[in-house]
Amino acid sequence: MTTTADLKDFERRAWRSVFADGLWDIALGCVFLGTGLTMSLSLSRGWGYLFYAAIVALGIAALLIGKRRITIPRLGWVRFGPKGQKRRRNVIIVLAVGLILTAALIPLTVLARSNLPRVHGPAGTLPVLRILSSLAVSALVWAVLSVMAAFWEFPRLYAHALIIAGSFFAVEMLSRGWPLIAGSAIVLAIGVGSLIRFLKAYPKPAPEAPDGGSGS
Amino acid sequence: MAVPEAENEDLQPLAGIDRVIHEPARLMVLAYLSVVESADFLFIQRQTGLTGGNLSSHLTRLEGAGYVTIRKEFVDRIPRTLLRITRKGRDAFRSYQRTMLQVLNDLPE
Repeated sequence: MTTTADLKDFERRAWRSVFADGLWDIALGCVFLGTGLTMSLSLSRGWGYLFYAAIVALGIAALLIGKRRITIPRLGWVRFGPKGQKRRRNVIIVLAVGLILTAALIPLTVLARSNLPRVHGPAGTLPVLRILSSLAVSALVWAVLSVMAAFWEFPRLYAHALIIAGSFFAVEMLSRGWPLIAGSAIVLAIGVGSLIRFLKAYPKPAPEAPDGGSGS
Repeated sequence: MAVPEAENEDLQPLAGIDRVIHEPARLMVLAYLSVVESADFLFIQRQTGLTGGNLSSHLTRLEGAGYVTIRKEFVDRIPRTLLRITRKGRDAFRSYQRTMLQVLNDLPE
């Protein structure tokens, strides 16, 4: 424990323990599940937005309430210094760039739905623009989630990035929401699995000694 | 049998080592507190794997040396013991790191 590298290891271990509860996976799964369900249920625009907002709110509520009621009483509370704040700021920047790029891709996806130019392949004719827009959307989703995973040092998010990006590709190609429902269900299942493991690994301390009674 | 002074030269810095930090459990506690802004008792206990009583006694020692501050507060009517490394603790920890590196580097293979 005498080198800077070892101290970084301590920091990494402390930081990663924050993601051990699976609550971020559950929140992320809810966000994409909301998108998939809204696509599949063919609701009116107003109800669609409302339904989507409700599912996303459910995910965020699970994250916030879970952190307060499940994680902190079992794992303890920690505040990371300037490095942690920098990580958070970087993730917000990545999300903002991702949103701008997504907005820029909307005209391409709308145009792609028209199936205009087609190429002949062994399986029949293929809509070129649709393939391009599907690839662009899934690459964007993968890039945003992977960069978030790198900034956050959250390894499971790399796997989620692949699952969700693959789901978006299928959604765009098939014009159906169910691949995203399936993909987000996998992410949710990983989150719930992590939460169960977390609950087993970190039982709630006895109420008479919530802080170990540090006599100071 | 006493070691001749010339042979003992490389180990001289060890004589001035901070014994408060040199204890493995306290070293681990300070290492964790040095990489976060603040944490509560339970978090440090989970990370270090120490028992509550053990951690409590080590914290008392570190607080006595002025290396950590221990502050009690209530969150949702639940007591929380907040721990934070002090400037003095951070300096002592860095000095300890430097000393140990020097001693270990100077030792023959």
